[in-house]
Amino acid sequence: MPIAADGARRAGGAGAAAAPTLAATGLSKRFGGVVALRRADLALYPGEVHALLGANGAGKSTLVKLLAGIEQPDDGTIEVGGAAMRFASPHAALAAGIATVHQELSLFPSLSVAENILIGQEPLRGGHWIDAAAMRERARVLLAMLGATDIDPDATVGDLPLAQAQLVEIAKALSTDPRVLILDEPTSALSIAEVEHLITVIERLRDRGTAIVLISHRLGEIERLADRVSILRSGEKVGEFPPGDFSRDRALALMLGEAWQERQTARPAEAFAGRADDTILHVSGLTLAPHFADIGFDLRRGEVLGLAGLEGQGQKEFLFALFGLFRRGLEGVIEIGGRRLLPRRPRDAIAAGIALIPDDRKTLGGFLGLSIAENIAITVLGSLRRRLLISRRAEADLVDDHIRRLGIKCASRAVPLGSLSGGNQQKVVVAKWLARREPVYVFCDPTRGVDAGARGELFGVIRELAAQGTAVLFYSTDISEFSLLCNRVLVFREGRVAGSLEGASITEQNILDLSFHEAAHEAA
Amino acid sequence: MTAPGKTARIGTGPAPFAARLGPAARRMLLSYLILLLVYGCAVAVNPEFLGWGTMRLQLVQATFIGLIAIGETFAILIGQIDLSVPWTITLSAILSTNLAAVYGHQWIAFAIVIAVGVAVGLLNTLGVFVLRVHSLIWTLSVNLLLQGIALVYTNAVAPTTHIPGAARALALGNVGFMPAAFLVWIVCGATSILALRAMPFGRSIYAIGNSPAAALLSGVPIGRVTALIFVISATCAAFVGLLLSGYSSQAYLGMGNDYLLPPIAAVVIGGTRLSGGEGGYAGSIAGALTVVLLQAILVTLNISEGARQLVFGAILLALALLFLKRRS
Amino acid sequence: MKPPETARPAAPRRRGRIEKHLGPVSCAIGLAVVIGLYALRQPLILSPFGLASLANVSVPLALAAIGQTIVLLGAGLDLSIGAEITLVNCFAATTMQGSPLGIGGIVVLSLLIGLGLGAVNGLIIAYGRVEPLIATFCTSFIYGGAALIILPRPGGTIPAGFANALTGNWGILPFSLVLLAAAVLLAWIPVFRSRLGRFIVAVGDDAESARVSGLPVRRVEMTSYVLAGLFAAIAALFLAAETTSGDPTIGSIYTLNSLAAAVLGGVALTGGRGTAIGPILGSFLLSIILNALGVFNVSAFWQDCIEGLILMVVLGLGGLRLLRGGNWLTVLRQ
Repeated sequence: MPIAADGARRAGGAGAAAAPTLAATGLSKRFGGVVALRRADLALYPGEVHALLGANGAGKSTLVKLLAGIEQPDDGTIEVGGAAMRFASPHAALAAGIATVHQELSLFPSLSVAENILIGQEPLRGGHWIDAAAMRERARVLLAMLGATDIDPDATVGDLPLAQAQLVEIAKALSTDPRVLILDEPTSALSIAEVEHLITVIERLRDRGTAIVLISHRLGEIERLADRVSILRSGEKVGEFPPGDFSRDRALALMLGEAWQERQTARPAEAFAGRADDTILHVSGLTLAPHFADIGFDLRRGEVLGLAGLEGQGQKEFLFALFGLFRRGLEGVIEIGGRRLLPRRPRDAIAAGIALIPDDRKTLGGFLGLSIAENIAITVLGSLRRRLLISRRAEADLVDDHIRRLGIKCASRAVPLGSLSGGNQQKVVVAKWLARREPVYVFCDPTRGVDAGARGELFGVIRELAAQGTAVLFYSTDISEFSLLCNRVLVFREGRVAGSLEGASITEQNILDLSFHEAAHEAA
Repeated sequence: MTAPGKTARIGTGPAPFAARLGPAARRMLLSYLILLLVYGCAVAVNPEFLGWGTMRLQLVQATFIGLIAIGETFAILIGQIDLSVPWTITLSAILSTNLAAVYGHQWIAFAIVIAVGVAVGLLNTLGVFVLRVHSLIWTLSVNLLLQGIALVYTNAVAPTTHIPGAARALALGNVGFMPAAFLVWIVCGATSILALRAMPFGRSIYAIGNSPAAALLSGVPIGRVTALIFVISATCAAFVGLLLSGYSSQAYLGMGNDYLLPPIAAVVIGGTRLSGGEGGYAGSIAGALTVVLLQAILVTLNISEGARQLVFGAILLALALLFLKRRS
Repeated sequence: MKPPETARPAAPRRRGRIEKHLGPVSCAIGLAVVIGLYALRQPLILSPFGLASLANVSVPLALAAIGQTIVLLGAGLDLSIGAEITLVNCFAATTMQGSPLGIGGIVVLSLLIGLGLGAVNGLIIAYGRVEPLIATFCTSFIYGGAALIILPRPGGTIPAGFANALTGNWGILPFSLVLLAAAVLLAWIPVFRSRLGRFIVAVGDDAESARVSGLPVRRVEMTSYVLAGLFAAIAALFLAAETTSGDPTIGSIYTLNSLAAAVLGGVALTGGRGTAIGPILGSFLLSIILNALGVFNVSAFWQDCIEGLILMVVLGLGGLRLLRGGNWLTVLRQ
């Protein structure tokens, strides 16, 4: 029974009287030395929406991967319709009737929308030839169900903005008419209207008897849709709310553990208290079609400026463009320390004084096969040179110093980066820039997939950087982080700045309002 | 965050040798074991391999392959490869000996070697780094182009039979009891190992090979490193061309064709991953010696040209199956 | 509720679809131009004999290019396709004359060998998990060596009946084109327009998405190499008919040229993009250009140079197309 926003109980739904469609017991999974999931249980009943709540790194995506057949559990069992199953591959899970909407979309950029939606189940003529017309029609029907009538089934997926791509991903999962539908962050880029449509579809599926798993950070959506809620923290299931018995406060407390206390006592964000004219980075009229247009701001030394908004509104592209990752098309003005800059490659930006800590640290930020020392020293190889060779001693001094300063937990500086935990890897990525003393740091979703403890430490690093006069640009897909770190927040919407918030007015609600509307009071 | 400043070492710090005793180092040691094994087989097949006379020949042959393997090791470490080697060798041999004879000065031969090396290296860099063409396909095309140039040149200008004395001395002469060529290899090889282990250049190579995207984002000068690698590779090949002409006292069309597969086999046997980022030149040295001994064994066993090719391909494939799995 | 007018600068919505057809269309235009220039210089080229000779030169490359395209679409690479052609060619040349199995039997056997060679590649790559580059590099030496063992020097014989059947004319229509059309209609198009074809393209576009979507990635990869072997065998048989003998070096140029023809026809070297007709048009264009050099009095000595340059230009153009992407990270992803 879902809990309506106003707290009233509604009758209906098959509920726990029926046998579970899917029962997972004792699921455990470790990756290398890290335990991602430990003895997790999950029971999905037909006609019920089961929500999974948990902070980053709590194990939600691991659980999803086990259910979808992408990974195999080290321990534990999965039963579908009473029969024990072993999903050796995603194909097996799909065959068992489990469809997944992935957070990292599983689409093919070069194929059309229709081809993506119906991949693997293309309608055939004469048993062999792909019936393109029928495929287009079926795709149209599925998209219409989601209210996405403006998406052309023949459009190339790679050209679509993120919100439309998300809808295609959802349509793809729906096309298999699944018994179990798993939705992993399906609404992170969607507009209000699109979210409403999706909610209607989910409710309709629920009424038809589909078992649904919903993972979302938006407690509002959870409260509207979910019958049952399970809470994960640090890889373990720490609580379950049966139908009709959900409490937001208790859920947050379970989700965050100790960090909950911190959140309770957290001070509201503070406006920048330094010299207003101490501008280190000046941006005005920055445009890069089709990703963003007319972005402008002044960033002062020691200030932390956040870029918020729904996913896919141009924040990431803006930060990448600032770092010189777009080879052409960038227009506008960028000034660092008074010098003009229009970077065409990262080396330009680095020379001007910008450091980037990217989101995908596995392949973008760090060299997993190289040692910690080699990772940290990579930006200053020239200065470590004595005559022709790298001085081991100078390198050791530098690296050890940074390991200390950032509190990186490692056996020695010679171990490969890949053997560290996610949070420590991220710290190494930060460390390599410290040696260069760049005045501007850009953090691009640094806490994605990082657990709560490491996140706290990373925040400490950012605060310390700001305290020492570094200017920080901060982007995160977790809306709760902005009030913890930023002095000011720019909210992006469709490639432009929809509004800005300062100090105490940086709240989740204000950010959400600006993400969806130009100003809070504007009607739809 | 604690205050910055001089602090105690973290852990015991790596000893210079133990630092590299990861899987890459183990592969390198394995390559020397393979070398010993193959040497054992060679001796079993023909006891003359225990003698200095035969071994001296093998060392010189290994020098040629080993010098080319320097460039190939560097290229493979950053995830590329250089297949323009065969006709770089031939073209350089023909051009350098011819022009030295025409103008009557020996040093011209060495100048041509460098010129060819730089030109071919930059041409390869153009395709691989600027135009983003897969290095294997691009360098094969360059190889074809060089073949054409060599043909045009030898058709227009009758090739000379005069080989510069310096080339002959390097290829055939001795320093003490050591072949001069082998000494050249030792010097170049040591420099290469040092460069990879302890120079910014080498560090950049491993970074690029490990993750080109991360290297880009860390400010590593990928273009410059790539250009230097291809220039080194082409120059080594060009130099080997001159040496070969000194060794056989002639420069003829197609003399480089036997030097396409063996250096790559040497690098792979030596433990360097073909996908880049892992390995080093120390293993390639063992690989070069192994390849040369393998070739000698096959010749002694009177195996036909086709069978030799087949055996080499099969050995390389077996190594790839055992040691070079793709990620995922 | 109608979504609000987007403030974002409009994305070029049809870019992906236009790009797909750019290759084949430019090839068709190029073909018309080159044949036109050729005909101006040598009008006889438009006679039945002239057209047949153009076709005979282009068809084997077209077959090889189709085989290579199947692999390229799946983000693979077949460097052994030339060696596969060589091996089957030498096999046919040494067994066809006077074989108890008859010509037809040897033809079938040759096709089976081609499938087998491709299967070996497929097993090593899809199940042995070796990089396609290394795997096919190695097998190219294995297959090439085997060809040399079977036929150390050009020789062998091909029965005249077989040779004429594939290389003759029927009025203005060369038999070689009939063969190509048969291969295309009976094998290439059925693969391209089937689920298997879509799966190959999907795997080439994003292998991880393919796995997560439940596609049998390994089986798809394996099949693409098997099919490449099949087309290599067909090309080999045609070459045998054309030269009425075998040659252990005959296939070597086809590896590089099949890649160039595919790229010319708009197939992406990185996988996931290509049309059915592109590689065919590309091969015709490439072969005719190379063939035309002789007519324009280009000395034979310059031919390698020019061929190398053409290859470099074609490949470079393919690379430039990738560079238009504008984002360093996508360029690096290669």
